Amino acid sequence: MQIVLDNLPRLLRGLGVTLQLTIGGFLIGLVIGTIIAVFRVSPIKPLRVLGAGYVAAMVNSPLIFLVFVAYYGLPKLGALLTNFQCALIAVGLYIGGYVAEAVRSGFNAVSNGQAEAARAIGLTFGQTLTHVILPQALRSSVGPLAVLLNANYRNVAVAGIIGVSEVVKAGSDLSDETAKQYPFFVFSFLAFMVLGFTTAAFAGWLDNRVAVKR
Amino acid sequence: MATLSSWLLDVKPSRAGELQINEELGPRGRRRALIGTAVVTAILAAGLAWVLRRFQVKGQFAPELWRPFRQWSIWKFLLLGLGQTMKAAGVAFVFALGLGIVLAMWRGSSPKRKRIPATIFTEVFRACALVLLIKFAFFQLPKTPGFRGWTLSKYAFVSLVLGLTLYYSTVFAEVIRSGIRSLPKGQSEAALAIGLTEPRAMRLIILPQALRRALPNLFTQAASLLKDTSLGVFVTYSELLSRAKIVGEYGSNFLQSFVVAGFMYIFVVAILTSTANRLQKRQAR
Repeated sequence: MQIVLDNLPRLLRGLGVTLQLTIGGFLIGLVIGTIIAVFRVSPIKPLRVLGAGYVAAMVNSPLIFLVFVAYYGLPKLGALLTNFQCALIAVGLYIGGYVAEAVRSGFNAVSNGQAEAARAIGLTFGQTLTHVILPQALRSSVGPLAVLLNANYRNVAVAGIIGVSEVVKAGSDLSDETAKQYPFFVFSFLAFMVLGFTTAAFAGWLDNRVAVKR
Repeated sequence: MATLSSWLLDVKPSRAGELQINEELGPRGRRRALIGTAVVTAILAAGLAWVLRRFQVKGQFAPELWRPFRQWSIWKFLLLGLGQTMKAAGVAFVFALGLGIVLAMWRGSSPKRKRIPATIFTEVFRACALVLLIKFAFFQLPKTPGFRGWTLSKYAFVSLVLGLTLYYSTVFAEVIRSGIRSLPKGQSEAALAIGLTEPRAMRLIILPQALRRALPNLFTQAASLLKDTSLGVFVTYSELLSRAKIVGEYGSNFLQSFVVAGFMYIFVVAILTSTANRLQKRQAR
């Protein structure tokens, strides 16, 4: 207990990095994923193919693989990035694939009558999407998106492999230095518990608030 | 030309139950969609050309960087890594599924001495980061009596499989439990009414149906388990990703070796995810 208190600043800094990576990556993923989901229903075939290809590539490759590509591969193409930026890009792209799937299932929760009515009053594809479909689809994908965000806290721990000192890495560095395992393990574990429950509670509230009451 | 444009303008949803935002396009819509297609294709081609140009400029197409992949020994090294990946995933899957079924049954049963431990176990390990579990096992196992004196690679394998098993058993338990809950109540009521005990009703009536309903999600999670074997990198388990990294370090050709490893990962994981999608579609009918 004492040992955790002594090293609290470092652990809290690690927790801050975890939060930044998780939320930053999630926001990037939210933007990319929504765009990709729109691509997948657009009337333009190359965009549909691109969307499907993107999702297939992201859903089928491990996050740590993307982190490695960003860290070892991008510098070879002349991109100079910090370790944190590499991790952030990898997490954002990865989550983007999953967000696209979640938003697409949100699309399918919208009834066909909505799209038919929108066409009948003469809205174009873009108008149908932005005024009718997306607002409803995004609201019904709050639940799945929250599950993604919650998994993300734990997934970003893989950034430790390229030296990004998020909470697990900070804890395991400290346990190497102090030769004590359990206190830091328990700290990381409790941190994940707290983050998880907070997110779930917030998502539950939001889901209820924006729910499409039919 | 007519077939090309009708292929391009086909806007029918690929699955039943999908939202159809577009309908059969009229003359104006067809024209716009074709123009859009041309513009988008041009933009995508320009993007691709830019990326290839970066490769060219930075000398990443240099033959010596790709030459290793013309050698069987390199392929063998990577494919054996893929074998290690599959081995860890297979062993972890079997244990996790077995444990997951027990957890789901216990959580759904009435005696408290079963329900409470299963609930605590599931909630605890589900909230845990996989990296944390694997690393912890790797550092703790050699100090645990009865597990001393193994080789490093055995510790690596066991801690990876242990971490995956603990975490994914809770994931599978949740998937199966939602399968159990999706069954109509009449199933268990009828089973109890004909005189089966509660455990037998679970084993003979509920579980077989629940597993069938849970099958698509089980495949999705198995794909995710297969991907997570790459966390073996943290504990020096010599699977596909760590071997791709070694190849990249050796020939200073990270991009090239990751391209190869990436295709391998996508190929094997896509088998599981596409099975999941197919099963999902079949159940939706």
